[in-house]
Amino acid sequence: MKYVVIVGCGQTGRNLALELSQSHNVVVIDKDKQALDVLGESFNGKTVVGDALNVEILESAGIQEAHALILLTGNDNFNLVIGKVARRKYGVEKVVLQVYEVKKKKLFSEEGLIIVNRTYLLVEVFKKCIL
Amino acid sequence: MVISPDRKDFFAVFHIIGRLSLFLSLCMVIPLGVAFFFKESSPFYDYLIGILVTASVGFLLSIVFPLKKEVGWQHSFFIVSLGWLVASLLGAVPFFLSHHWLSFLDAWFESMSGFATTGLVLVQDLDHLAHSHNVWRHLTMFLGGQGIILATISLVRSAGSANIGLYVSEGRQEKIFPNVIATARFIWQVSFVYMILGTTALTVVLYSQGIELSKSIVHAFCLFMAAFDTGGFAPQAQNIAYYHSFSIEILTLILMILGAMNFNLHFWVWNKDKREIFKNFEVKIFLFTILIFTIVLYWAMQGNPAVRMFRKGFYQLISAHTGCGFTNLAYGELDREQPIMAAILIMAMGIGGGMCSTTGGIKLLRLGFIFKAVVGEIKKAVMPFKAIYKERYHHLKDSVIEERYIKEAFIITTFYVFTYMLGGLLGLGQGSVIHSFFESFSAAANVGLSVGITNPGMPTYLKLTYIVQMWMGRLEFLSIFIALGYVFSLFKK
Amino acid sequence: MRFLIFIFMISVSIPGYSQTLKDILENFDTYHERTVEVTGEVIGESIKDPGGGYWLNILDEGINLGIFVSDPALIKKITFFGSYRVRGDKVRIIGTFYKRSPEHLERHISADSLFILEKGSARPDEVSIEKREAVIGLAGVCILLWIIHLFKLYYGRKNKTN
Repeated sequence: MKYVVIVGCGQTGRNLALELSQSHNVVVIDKDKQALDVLGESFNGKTVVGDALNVEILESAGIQEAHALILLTGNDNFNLVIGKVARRKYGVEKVVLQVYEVKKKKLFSEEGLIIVNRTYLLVEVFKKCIL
Repeated sequence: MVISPDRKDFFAVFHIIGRLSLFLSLCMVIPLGVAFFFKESSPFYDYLIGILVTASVGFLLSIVFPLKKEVGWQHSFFIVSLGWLVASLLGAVPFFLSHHWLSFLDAWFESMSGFATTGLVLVQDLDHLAHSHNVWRHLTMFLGGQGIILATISLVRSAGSANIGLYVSEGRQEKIFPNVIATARFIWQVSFVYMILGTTALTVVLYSQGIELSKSIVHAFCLFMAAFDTGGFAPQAQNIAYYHSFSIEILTLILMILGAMNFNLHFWVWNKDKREIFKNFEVKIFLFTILIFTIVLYWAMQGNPAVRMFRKGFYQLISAHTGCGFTNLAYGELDREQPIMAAILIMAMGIGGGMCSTTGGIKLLRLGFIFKAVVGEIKKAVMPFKAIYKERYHHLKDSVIEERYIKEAFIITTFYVFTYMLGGLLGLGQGSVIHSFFESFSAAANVGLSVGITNPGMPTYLKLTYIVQMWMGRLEFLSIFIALGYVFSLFKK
Repeated sequence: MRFLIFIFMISVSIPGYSQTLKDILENFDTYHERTVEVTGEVIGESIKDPGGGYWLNILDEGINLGIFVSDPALIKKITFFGSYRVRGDKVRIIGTFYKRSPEHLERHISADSLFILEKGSARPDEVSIEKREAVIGLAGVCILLWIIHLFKLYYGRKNKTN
């Protein structure tokens, strides 16, 4: 059972959290409490209300034990900063971010961060559907 | 908006109860195995019947009430309340068949006493009871104790931000692991490790005293389950006094205290910060109350050698405070104790041990909140009018005491006190006033020490009273009230 | 020697001389540090005391008490100890009752002498016809229900895939 921290409880974050929490330890961080409430009363994981840029919040979410960190803040820069901190300070094995501007790709890959770009993903999926 | 249940909700609840029954029937295979090993023929059949009846009930419920709706937190209260009731009734079947209990009611009493980790007994001729039956008695305590820890931790988690006010609901911060299954696994692992260590240590001591090895192992298991799950049953009629052993008393003392510790504390000490023991709020309260009680104890037992004060006085005090209920006193010794001793035992029983543990009573954390609330009110009165002030405390992490924690602490404490008093009043006439209250506290706080009021000859209404008290005390009232609320709302429609 | 034993047996059989455990334990102050004579069944086993000597536990009409025995020869007299399948030896013990004592701290009788009044015997462990019949009947019911349960599960899965 892995320990996964998810930052950002939008649609993607929520779905990921609900799915992963079935068989893993999941903690979701979001600045907005109402976004976390959408997870529901039976959510089999932990929620933390706060700003993930704040190291205290990350620690209270248990980032020291995390095997994976998934960044879905919606802001590329935030994702990068938090991702760096996670890798450098806490040694989190797998850091995955959703990125909008692929230009920054080099920066991300230097740190050993895993990038997911929506447009690129969609392109690949549609290609596979047709071909 | 009031959540009103519909047919599908009840179906879900009963279906889960069905599954629980099936699990229970599997558990009965253990005493069946013991009966086989010791060649106890009649008990063997008792457990065959028990397994078949329980499994049949389980299958029947699963068939008649198919699972059509997902089980959510709102069902948990009902499941927990009904679960304990059903388990105690089914668990009573083998007892009743053994003819060591006067009636099915007596057998049910013992079974509920087991599942509620209380320890009040109505068994007759315990010294001639088969090993298998004894193992089942103690196994019910293990199941009930572990079950309540799981239920508390998962119920508390799921109640989340609902204003039921279960204290830790705000931060699922203190939860052991985010995933409830990981948490359950941890609890089992820790319990298992303690079980191996505890049972081995006990076996060694018992065997060295000349008890035959197979019997030593059986007794060691039984004593472990009764101690760690703060139950208080023992395999012989004299309870711990049977062994006449300082070593057994020390071992059970350690196990009782371990069992009364908040499981979150166990987790923290194992995996995170061992110094939490010194910083923890509940630990501090426990040390405080024990100190006060011990001082009074010392004064009351003046003239006794120190060892006796420890073995008879302090042991009894810890047994009461942790909600275990072991006794090493002889017949007629506890009930003729001086009133001051009875008084401190009553208070210790009423307070109980840590939250999220197998103990009973009001629980240390709530006592602490009430104390801090009072102190806070006094401080507020002295402060400038507009200052907002909240007391702080340290339980695994530094926190602020929110209003709703205080509210919950007071509400639940009121329920307990009310139940203690009501049971005491109902028992008047069966013994002296102080004895009646002693017994009531013992039942409602799931302790199990008895001044003699609990005996097969006691009136039926009192047996039922104590059964209800044990049940309510174990489940901390709310689950039961919520379940009853659902039932009423169904009739209202 | 025989004369002494004779006198002893006579004095011991004088009515009113022996006590029940209930008597003693309910009037522990009266009997404290007095010689008493009790009868009861030995149950369990003899337990070694780390400080020397042995403990016996006896049962007399629902009341138990621990007996401290310093002389192992007395223990050797006992053949049967009470348990599920055994009714233990019925013994008569003469000794001093202590509500508490400096050496042993607990309420007990320190035995001076022990006599076997009645040897123990086996306790019945028979399975009644009703229980055997009940098992057969219930097994039938249970298996039937189990089959129905399995069917429901099977059909449930079939419907889901449809």
